[in-house]
Amino acid sequence: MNWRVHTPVAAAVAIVSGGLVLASLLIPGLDEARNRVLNWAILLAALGLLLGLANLFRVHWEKLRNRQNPAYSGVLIAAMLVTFAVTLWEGSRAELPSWIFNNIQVPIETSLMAVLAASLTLAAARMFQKRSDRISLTFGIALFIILLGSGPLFGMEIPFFTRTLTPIVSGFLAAGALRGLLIGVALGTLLTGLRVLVGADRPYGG
Amino acid sequence: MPQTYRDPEENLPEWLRALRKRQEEEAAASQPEPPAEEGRTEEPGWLSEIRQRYRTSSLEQDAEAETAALEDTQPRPPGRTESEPIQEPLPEPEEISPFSDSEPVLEEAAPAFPTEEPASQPAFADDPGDETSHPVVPAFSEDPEALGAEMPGWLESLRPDEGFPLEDERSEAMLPESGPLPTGPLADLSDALPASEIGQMGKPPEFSTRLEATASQRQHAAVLKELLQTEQQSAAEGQPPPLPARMLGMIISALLFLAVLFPLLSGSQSADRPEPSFFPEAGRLFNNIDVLPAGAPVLLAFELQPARYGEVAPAAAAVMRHLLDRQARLVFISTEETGPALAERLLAEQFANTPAISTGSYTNLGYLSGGVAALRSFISDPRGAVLGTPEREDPWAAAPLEGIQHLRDFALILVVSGDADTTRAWVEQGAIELPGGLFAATSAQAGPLLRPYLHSDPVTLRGLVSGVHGAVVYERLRGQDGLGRQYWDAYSYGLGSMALLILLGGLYSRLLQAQAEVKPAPGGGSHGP
Repeated sequence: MNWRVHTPVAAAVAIVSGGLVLASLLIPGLDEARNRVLNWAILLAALGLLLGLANLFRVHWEKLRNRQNPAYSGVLIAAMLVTFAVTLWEGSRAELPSWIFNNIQVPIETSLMAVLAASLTLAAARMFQKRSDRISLTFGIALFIILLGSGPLFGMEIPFFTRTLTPIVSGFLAAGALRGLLIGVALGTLLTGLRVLVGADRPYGG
Repeated sequence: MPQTYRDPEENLPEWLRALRKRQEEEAAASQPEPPAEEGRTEEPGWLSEIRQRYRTSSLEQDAEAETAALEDTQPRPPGRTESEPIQEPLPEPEEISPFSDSEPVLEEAAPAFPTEEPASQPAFADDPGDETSHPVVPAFSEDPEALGAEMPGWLESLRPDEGFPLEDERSEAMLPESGPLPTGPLADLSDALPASEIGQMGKPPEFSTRLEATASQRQHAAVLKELLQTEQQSAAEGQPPPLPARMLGMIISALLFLAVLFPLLSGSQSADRPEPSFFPEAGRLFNNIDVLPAGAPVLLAFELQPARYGEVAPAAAAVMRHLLDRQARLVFISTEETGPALAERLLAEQFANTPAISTGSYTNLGYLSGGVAALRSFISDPRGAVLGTPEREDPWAAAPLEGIQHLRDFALILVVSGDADTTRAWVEQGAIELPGGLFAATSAQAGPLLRPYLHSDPVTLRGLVSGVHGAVVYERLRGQDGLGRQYWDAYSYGLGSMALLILLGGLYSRLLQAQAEVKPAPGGGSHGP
């Protein structure tokens, strides 16, 4: 059976929902309807999480059956099932789910971030071997200004960087560029919203 | 009135001219001495045979009639059917008409089509005016032997097979029985559908299915493709990076690890701390918290992921300690799945001995699914967005939260985030409901990205503490040491090591590249002129 929603229906739902939320920001008295629609979105997002979990299980179950890296898929499925069952049984604030989170997930993700710091340092050191043009030189100079102004080096502060040069670079140059970037993001968001509202873009798959 | 004569040769298409020329050459090769009386050596052989056939079968026909009959073997000049006035007396139709009974020659040369039926005649033959001005003599027959001539190869290939309906019969079958005849430019053409059958619809727009990419886009795509191929190639080969690269990576990692670990293990707190006067955004946050009344509800949006927990924790802990010292009522919520658990972790690690935490005098509203839409819903109607669950009683029933109906009822809102996007979402979505703005404690990378909101008018982000640096500043404002102070020396030595490694590594890399540029290619000379 084909469960795919027909395009006109999906487009109509999306346009009406978006138009209602947009109108509620401009017209008083539509707050109740807007909040109801947004609460539906919360429920649907929660349901989407469960569907994503089921899809992840299905994909790795197929890999396990087809023996495509079965060890990784097996560990993932086992960890997922155990964590899901324990959390469902004891609750998210119970001792065992908290232990799993604090002693497995947090150290793993933090370690990956630490490896990233070392990798970026290595990449910056080798940058001039790959490229030595003006862009690289500008990037290197900005990098050093920010690094030297971020704090004391080996315990000693360099006031020229921390109090003069770095605030100028980060407070004027970087902030100005980011302000322009944010305006561009806002315009892009506005345009995307309008395209969805008129049905030109259908990110919902219609 | 004299009729202007048009030479049909002028209107011949190029392909027919080329064909004629080739056939003339062939005929010249096969007949080195053409008959002198014909005087038409430029005509192809098959046309000469047709002329010969006519000459032998109708001795009484005069040369003008023959010439007129043979004119239809030539292509019709354009504009023949136009209603131009005839300026010359035409010959009598019965003298040249191929359909006349008095012309036995023409009867013999009649085509295999039933000429009595109008439908079997060419379309232009139906026009009486056209018939009188240009008499039609079908020089071709369906049976080549009837003419005693050999048809060209290209024409032979176009002839329908035996048993296959003739073109006009098919056309009759295909056309509607009583439909309107084609009009306009297609009036005289056979097999033309009438325009009324097609309707008056405009031509539908044509959309190209090809990817329309500019030159720069194609160039970028080529670079990306090359990168992916290189990545796949190295992954497929499974070869580790060369030994010097691996050694360099290991040395850098070891030096960074030692630089960070040594101050932590030694407990060193000798590094200079930044001056708070240079960070007014941290001072504004401090001033707002410092005037909170006891029991004031404070909302903490804990939008944090485990990867950045270690960096954000000092800043968040410094501010939360200040809040707890002011006996504020903490309320946590998060649109990140890991946010509530990390909030509990930070409370357990840093504030387990604080009475408000140990007695559970705080509220964790948990995870709010739905991203920005959920955030919008929570900002508009906090009570409607967060409901009670079987695991948790109705959070809004607690005494400190009874008076909370809107987001502005919170005394202060602090966003604890690892990236700028979630903080930006809170700032932008809450700009209407929070005219006084909100505060943020973020990672160091999010600080510069949020700086434009600090200077916006009206104010959307009133105060900011970012990274370990911000944590140390805030602790200096409070005159207390905390996680920031513990990390500060390790941060300082790690930062110095990183800058030194990048500087030395960059100089060494530049030196290697300079040597490679100076070193001549093996076996190669100068490429200059």
